[in-house]
Amino acid sequence: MPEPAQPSTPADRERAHSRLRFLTRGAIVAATGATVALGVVVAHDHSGAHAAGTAADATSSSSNSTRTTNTGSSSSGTTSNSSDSGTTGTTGNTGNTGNTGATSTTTPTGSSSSATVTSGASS
Amino acid sequence: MAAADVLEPALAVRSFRAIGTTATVVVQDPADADMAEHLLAAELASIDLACSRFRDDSELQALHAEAGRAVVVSQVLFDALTVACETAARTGGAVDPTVGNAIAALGYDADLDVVRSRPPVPPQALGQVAGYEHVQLDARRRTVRIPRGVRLDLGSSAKALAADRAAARIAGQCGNGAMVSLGGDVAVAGPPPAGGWSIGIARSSSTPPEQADQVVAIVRGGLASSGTTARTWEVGGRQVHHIVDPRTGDCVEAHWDLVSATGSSCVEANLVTTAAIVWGAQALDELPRFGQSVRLVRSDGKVFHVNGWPQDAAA
Repeated sequence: MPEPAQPSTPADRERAHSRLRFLTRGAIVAATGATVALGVVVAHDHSGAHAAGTAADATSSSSNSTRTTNTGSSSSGTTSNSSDSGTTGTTGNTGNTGNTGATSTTTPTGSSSSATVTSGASS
Repeated sequence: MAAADVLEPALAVRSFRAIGTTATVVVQDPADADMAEHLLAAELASIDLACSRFRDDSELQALHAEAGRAVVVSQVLFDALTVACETAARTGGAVDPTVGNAIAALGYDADLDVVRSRPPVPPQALGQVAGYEHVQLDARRRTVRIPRGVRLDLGSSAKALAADRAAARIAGQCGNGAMVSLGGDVAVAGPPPAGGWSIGIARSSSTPPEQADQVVAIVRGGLASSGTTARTWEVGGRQVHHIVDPRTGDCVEAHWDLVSATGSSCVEANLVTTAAIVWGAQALDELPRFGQSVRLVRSDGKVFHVNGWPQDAAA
């Protein structure tokens, strides 16, 4: 490949510098444009995630998992609420266990400790 | 009285026979065991002298003898009568203290060991049940009047009251938590041990705790059980038990073998368990309004839980 010719006169050097500034500016503009375009694409593709974060930040700082669940879909929020209702139902245990009614403040707990007395029919 | 049996580093147990059943006290400091046993024995002696229908020298027998007139009674008997009548009112008369004649007509007019040792007797006519509304209590004068011919059975409610009183007194004296069991009717008072007071649940209160069907823990109040299979005897060629249906004067037709419940006191717990036995199948409809946790074992062995009683481990 032939070696490029070096500018030999001041006029030649000025033309060379002008051309270099043009190319540099063009490259900068092109690069900036690509960056902007890339940013637009990224923002477009991930707008749901971005909106979710914004919404959660606006409403609560309590829990990322709560934010994700609530913004992932509206049905997830409903499920969460249903789960709460189910907890109430579980307290009453009206389903599988046959345990009915409300718990009281003296509700016993299951114990793995050794019992010292037995409650049963008095003999 | 039995020797102390220390089960855990900080739990001491004393048991002895009294009022026709096994009395047990559990305290957290073995150094309190002697005092606790003494207080429990004193409380039971007091309640027995006031409320026994088997002792000729009891206050209750004196009240029977004075039926038809207002009689000044001791604070212990007045409290026991008040509890019995309140229990009757709250259960709609399902648990009624005026069943004394009915239970005696079934042959239960002495300690159970004596009743069981008797030769077979022919069927007896059922006794009349006057109804608790006819017991007149005057708190200001501390007097009681019962109709002529009426006899009272304070039975399970007086025993539960004794458990509550003894537990409170022992906890107050030793400055620490205490548990009292009278034939399986349990009261606790004071600070509980870590994890609460563990209590075995079994068809008979004489079952060793390690062989119980379930172990539960409570931190306050009481836990009681009533059953139709342990306290039985034969009369007129049939097996009967000690829980009378005030509507019929006969022993309750057994739908539940065992009912256990917790409550804010042993009296509260006992109220529910005895009533559930009388209600039979209807108990599942009646119990939720009491808000107390209940475990019921039907005669076919099926177990029911109401108001948050924990599931059996094998369920």
